[in-house]
Amino acid sequence: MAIPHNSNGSGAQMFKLKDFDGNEFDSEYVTKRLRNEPIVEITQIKGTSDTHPALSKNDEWADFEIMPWKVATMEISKVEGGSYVREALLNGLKLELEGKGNPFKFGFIGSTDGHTAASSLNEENYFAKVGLLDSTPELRGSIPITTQALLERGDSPITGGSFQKDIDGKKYVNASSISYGASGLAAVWAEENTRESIYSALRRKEAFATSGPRIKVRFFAGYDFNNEMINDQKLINHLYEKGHSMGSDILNTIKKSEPEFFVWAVQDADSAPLQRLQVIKGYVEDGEIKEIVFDVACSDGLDVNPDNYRCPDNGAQVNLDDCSYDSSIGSSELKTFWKDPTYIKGQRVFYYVRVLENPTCRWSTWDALRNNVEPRSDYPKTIQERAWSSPIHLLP
Amino acid sequence: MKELKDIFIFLLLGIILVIVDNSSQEEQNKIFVDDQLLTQLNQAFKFQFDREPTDEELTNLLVSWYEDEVLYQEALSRGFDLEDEIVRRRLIQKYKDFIKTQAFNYVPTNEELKNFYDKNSVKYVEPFSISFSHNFFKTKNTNQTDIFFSGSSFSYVDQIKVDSTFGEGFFQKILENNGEKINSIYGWHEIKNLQIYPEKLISYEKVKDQVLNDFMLRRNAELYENDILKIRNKYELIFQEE
Repeated sequence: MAIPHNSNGSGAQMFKLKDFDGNEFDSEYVTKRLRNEPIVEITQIKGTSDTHPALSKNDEWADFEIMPWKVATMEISKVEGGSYVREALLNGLKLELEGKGNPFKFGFIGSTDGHTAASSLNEENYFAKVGLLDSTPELRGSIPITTQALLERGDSPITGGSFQKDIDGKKYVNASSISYGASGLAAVWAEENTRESIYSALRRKEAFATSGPRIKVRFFAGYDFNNEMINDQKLINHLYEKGHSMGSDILNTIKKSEPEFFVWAVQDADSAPLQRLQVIKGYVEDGEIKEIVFDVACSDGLDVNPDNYRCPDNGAQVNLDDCSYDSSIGSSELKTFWKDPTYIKGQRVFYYVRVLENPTCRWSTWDALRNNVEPRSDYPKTIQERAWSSPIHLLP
Repeated sequence: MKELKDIFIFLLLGIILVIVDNSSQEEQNKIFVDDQLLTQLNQAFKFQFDREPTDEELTNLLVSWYEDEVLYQEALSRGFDLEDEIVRRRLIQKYKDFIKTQAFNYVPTNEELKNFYDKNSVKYVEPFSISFSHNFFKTKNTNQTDIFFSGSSFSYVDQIKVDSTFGEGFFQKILENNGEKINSIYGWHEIKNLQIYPEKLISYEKVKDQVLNDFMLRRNAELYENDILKIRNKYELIFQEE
C-alpha cells in the first residue's frame, strides 16, 4: 500500500488526469492505482490538502492551513488540476462518467510528516517539523528575528536578504515554515489493536483524519435505518447491519430508495468543544463537477438553517491575550441521522464528513504570546481544528 | 656496460609487471556465480513477492546482478570506494551492526534473569487500575440514558486512559464516587461495578519473556559501549602540524 502525501505541494502532479507519461487512464491503470493507493493523506504539517478557497468558493472553511508552496521550494504550487483531494474525488466521478474508471476513490488519513521522531501536532506545544530549520519561533517565522540571530546567520540586519521579510515594520524569517500547521493524525475503526486489523481497516478505507486533536468520527450510509435507535446501546451494531461505514461504495442506488446517513463526532477531552458537523457532497451535473457543504448538526442546541444549510454562529471566541476560551460554548458530541435534501435518484455522488471545533489559538499565536510580541498579521491568529471521515460513494 | 645492464633489468621488470598485471587482470575479470548467490537472489525475491521466482524471473535477477557487479568491480578497480563519505558511513554502520550481532549470541541463565528481575522490579509492576461500567446521561436531571461514544464498560484501565477518554480528573472522581452521578466533559455518568486493583508486582514467571528482552537490551548496550571504547583505545589521535 502506498499513501500519497502532500498533494497540496505537488504543483498539481499528484492527481492530474493523465498518467506519468501523459497517457489517458485505462482500466488496468485505474485498477492498479485503486489497489495500491486506497488511502491519501488529507492533512499534515506542510498544510492541509482537503481543498483550497480557489476551488471551493462556497466553502467558508476551505482556507484551513493552506501551504502555498511546492514541496521543498518557495515556488507557488499550482492549485487547480491535481493538488487537492476534494477536486480529485470530483474529477474521479467525472472520469467514471466518461467511462475511464475512477482512480481517485480513496479514503483519508492525516499524519505529521515530522522529521524529528516526535509528533508535533499540538498547537500549544508545536515545536518543529524538521528541527534544525524550524526549532525556534524565530526560525519558523512566528516572531521577529533578532539582530543577533541575523548576524549569526551571516546576514546583514540592515540590507536584509532573501530569507527575511518585513511584516508590520519588523523583520521575520521568510521561510515556508510559517505556513506549516500543527497537524495531523491517522485513525481507523479496527476490530482490534493488531497490525492485521489496522491494515485491513486502512485497506477498506474505514479510516479518518484529524488536524491534531483526538476527535472521533463515525459515518454510515444505508437504507432502513431505525432513527429511534439514536440513543440505543446497540446503535453501532444496527448501523453495521443495515448500512455501510466510511470508505464504502453503495452500488445499484438507482434501484433503491433515498439513502440515509448517520453522522457522529465527539470532541477530544483535552481540546475545544465541537462547533458543527458537516457533510460534504460532490457530484457531476451537466458535465460539471459540483460540491455542496451541508451543516447537519449544530452545537449549543442550534438548528441548521434549511435555506443555506448553515448553523448559526455559536459565538465561540478566543481571548488572544492568553489563548483561553469558554469551554461551556460548543458541544462535546454531535450526532444525527441525516438525508440529503438535494439528492437525485441515480446520481453518481460522494459524501464525506467534516467536523469543526470551536476556534482556538494557532501555534504561531502561542509562539508570539510566549515571547511577548504581537502575532504577525499575515497569518491567522486562530484556527478551527477539524476531522474528516473517508468518503462514501453512491453509484447508480 | 653498467648502463646497458640497468636498462635490461628495467625492461625485464617492466615485462614481468605487465605479465603479472595482465594475468591478475584476467583473474579479476572473471565473475563467479555459485549456489549461495542464487539462493540469495531467490530469497530476496521471495521476501518481496511471497513466492518463488520463475526460471525467467531468476534469470532476469541474475542478469541484473551481473550488470551491477561489473560496474561495481570497475568502480573498485578505480578506487571509487576510497574517500567516499557514503561508503565510509555504510562501513561504520556495518561494523556497529557486527559488534551488536556478536553481543546477541549470548544466552543468559535463569539465575541471571531472576537477579535482573529482582534488581529491576519497578519495571514489572501493574499500575493502579480500575474496571467499571457506567450509565451515561446527557444532563444531570434525566433518567433517560444515552449511548456513550467510547463504550459503556472499561476493564483494567489506568488514570491516563480514563482521563484521556473522559477528561482530566475523571479517574479521581470515580474513586471518590459515592453513588451520585459524576460529570465529565460529555455529560453525567452513573458508575457501576467498580473494581479497584492496587499497584502490584507481576510474578517473574509471567514476565519472563520481557525480562529476557530487557536483560539482553541492557547487557548488549553495555557490551557495545565497552567494545566501542576498546576499539577507540587501539587508536591514537595525532594532530599534524602543517
